[in-house]
Amino acid sequence: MSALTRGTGCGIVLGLALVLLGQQFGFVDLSRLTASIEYLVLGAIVMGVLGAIIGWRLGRGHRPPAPSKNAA
Amino acid sequence: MGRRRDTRGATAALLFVLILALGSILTGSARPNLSHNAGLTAFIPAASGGPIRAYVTWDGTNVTSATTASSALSTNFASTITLVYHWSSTSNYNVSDARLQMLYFGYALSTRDVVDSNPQPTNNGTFTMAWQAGALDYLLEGTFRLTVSLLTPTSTALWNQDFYVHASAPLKVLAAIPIILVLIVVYETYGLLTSGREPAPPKEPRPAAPAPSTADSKAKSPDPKVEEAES
Repeated sequence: MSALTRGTGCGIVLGLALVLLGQQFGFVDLSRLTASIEYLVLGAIVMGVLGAIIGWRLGRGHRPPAPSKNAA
Repeated sequence: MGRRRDTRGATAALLFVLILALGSILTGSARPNLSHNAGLTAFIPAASGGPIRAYVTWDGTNVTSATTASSALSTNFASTITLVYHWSSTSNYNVSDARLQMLYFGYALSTRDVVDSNPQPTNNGTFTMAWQAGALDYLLEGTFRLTVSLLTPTSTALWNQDFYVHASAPLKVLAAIPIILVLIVVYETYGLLTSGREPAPPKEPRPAAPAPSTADSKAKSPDPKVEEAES
């Protein structure tokens, strides 16, 4: 799994969890079905894109460790 | 390098939780205190446009003062809440059921009824309901929409009204769902910040160059001795 894929996955889960947590702390009203689904989809998309960008950026900057001599 | 990333991830997660907790506390303190009786004397026209006029009090507060999420009534699911339904009409009606529904994602999370088993046609009445959230106290907090309604024996709604309550958990987060969600957020934030350590996908090997034909190899043979022998 690449850094971009993992970042996207984490971002989508974070987006869903943050919307649900926002309801628990009183920021978001999730009592109507349509509005709730809209909030969840929007959260997942926004955080998924953000996670993809963060993952891609972090993955670019990361240098994999050099293979040890014994590995050969 | 890796240890520095670990520290950065943990710090970001900790900051995130602190911001959430702070936001929650600020929201709680900014919420208006609606413990006084707001406009109890006036009957409220039926919100559903029905034939009767009614109002409902939530621990003494008229629920029409909390018709938006921002003006939600602060409450605690651990306590018993007393709801009083008052209704009146110009003509006689059989009102047999006072109902309270708590909605989440459009579905009734909890429904409570006070039923008059032998209703008589009359032009006014009162129902008193003592409501306890039960297990929801340990499960949920947050802002919820509730619907109060008055029904006939055939379950036809004569009147209904939506309002909002904000239920607080002990210490703001001590309910099952918020705790699970906070743990998920911390775990996924850490996963996101360490996603750069994922190994890059293996590069596909380049396609091998086509092998040169024997004639060509002979023609372009760099060895002068071979050429001499052939001649």
